[in-house]
Amino acid sequence: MSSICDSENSTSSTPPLVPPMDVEMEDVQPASATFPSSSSAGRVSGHGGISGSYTVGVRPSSKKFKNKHTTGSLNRLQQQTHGLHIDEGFFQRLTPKPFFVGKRFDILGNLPYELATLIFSYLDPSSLLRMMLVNKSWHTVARDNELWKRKFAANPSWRVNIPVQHLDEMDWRHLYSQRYQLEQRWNTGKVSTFYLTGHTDSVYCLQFDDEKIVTGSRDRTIKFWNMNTRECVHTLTGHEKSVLCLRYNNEIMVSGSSDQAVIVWDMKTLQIIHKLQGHQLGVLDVAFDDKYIVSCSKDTTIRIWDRVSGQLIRILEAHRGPVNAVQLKDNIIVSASGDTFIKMWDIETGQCLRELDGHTRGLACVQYDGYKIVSGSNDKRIKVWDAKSGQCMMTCEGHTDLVRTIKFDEEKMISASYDQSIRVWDLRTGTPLLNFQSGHLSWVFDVHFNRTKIVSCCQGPDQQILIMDFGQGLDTKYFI
Amino acid sequence: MVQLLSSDNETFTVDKQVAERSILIKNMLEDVGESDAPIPLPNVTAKILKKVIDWCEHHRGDPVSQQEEINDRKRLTEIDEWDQKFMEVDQETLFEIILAANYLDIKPLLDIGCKTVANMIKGKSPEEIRRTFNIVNDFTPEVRQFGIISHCYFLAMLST
Repeated sequence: MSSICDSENSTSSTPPLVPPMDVEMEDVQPASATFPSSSSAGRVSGHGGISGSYTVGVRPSSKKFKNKHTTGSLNRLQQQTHGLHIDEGFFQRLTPKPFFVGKRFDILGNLPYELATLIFSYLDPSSLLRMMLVNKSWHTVARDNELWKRKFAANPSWRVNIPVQHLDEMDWRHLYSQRYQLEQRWNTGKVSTFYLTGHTDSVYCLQFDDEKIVTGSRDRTIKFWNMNTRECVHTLTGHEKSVLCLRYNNEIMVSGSSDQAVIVWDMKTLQIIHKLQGHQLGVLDVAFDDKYIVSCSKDTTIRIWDRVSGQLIRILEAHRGPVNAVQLKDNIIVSASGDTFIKMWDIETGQCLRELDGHTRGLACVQYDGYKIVSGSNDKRIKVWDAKSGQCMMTCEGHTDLVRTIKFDEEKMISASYDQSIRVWDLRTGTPLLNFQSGHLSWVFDVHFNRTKIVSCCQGPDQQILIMDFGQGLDTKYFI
Repeated sequence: MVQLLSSDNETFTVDKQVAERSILIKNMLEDVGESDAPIPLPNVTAKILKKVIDWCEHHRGDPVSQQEEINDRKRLTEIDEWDQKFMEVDQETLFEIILAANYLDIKPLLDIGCKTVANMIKGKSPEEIRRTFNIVNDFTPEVRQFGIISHCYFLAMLST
């Protein structure tokens, strides 16, 4: 931000706003709103005829208002041009312009452009839109691309991924309005809904990204769906019983089944790489990173496998009940069991690091991001834990049946339950934000979300896979 | 102690710590070293300089960090009580304080000034804004018409 004096533009475009700041002027000017009063008129008339209207524009002649103070180098310019003692910041100009007199004047219109936009950056969007109608100069400032960019950036959670080649031509006002509308829809629960049909039985698990949705079903298949056309594009067979869990990235997909096997798939060829055998009962959840695959089972154990070779590395005799959910992050495994405990494990040593005890009935789901653990239980509650201290930070109540699945990001968490509802919660306060009651007509088994969508799946032969789209009709391609 | 010379040749003597709330002055002191010669501030009148010094005195102990700025953004137009009182001045003075804060590079004071103006605008209709700041509507009738249409369009977009 340049200072007003350095900028040619600002000094030359700023019209005089107040009468010259002589000692006399200071006394009279703020006191009278209906300028001029009789007394002040008399005293200021010498200032070049400021006589009660805004139209008087004659520069004071030099002689009369010779500076009382000794002349320092600072005032030399003024001395030369006007011979006046005036406030250089405002009056260093050669062309006479009308003085504006009185208490009210257009602060914004007279500020340098970048300061005006700074003020605008503190205003809400609807105030900004109203400001565009004030007059021409306000209109120009309120349309400023940089301003809308700054307003966009003022929301820390409004992240974008814009290719470098598009950065220069980005219309930030458009982007802002799109992002704002998306936010409004999340606030009010305004969604477009779509169901995917194809599986012939309950759908237990899913994951999705911008291009596709992948689902695993009791019909023993895994299906790939095109996100745009919402059509099934691939059906994978390999499991001999229900597909209970799956997780994928760009390279591999790992799925677990009640056939007690874990299958590792190549995401490019969709062929089976490994079939990991060993669990004594159904595989309820899987997780993986660059090195390891972790699976947990109804047989109460967690098995750790080498991701590349598929070799079994370790068995954790983890819990006293079925291990329903498992997470892996930075070499820490977090497991949740029907025995009501959450446990944290060191994957390298197999050592149990911590037990989180708080739920009164068995756990169904858990998510861990390295800092927080969020869990859902048959006691109908959701708990948020600090992973470092093991303290329960928050308990959310509202579901009327087992909380089957939960996901969270920096701001919100989304849970789904056997009570058929999908609920959105504020992660910081635990406040319930949205409650979708009628999307599913049976137990909800899995839910995932991103910036524009919630995708969920449920029991039953019909309407098992639901997409709730908050971004329908919006330009959301740059939002992450 | 540091001496500051206003545009109208009035000298102010202030603590170095206070004066250095102004990044302009701080940098100047670092560049030229301390001396008895007053620092000339040709863009600031004595009246405004006095206000600014008052503000710097009150906020002399404030932490100067970027975190502060981020928090300020978050709280948007909230202004603490002392600063609100401080900013209860006529519009010309407010305008001059903003310009002075910008020139002297006192970011928190600039922010408070800008927030104060923002608060004068917030929630007002265009006509109320014009009245507050004594602005003439210089749109041509055609543009007014168009402006209102596009305005409604954007309002509709924002309120869906």
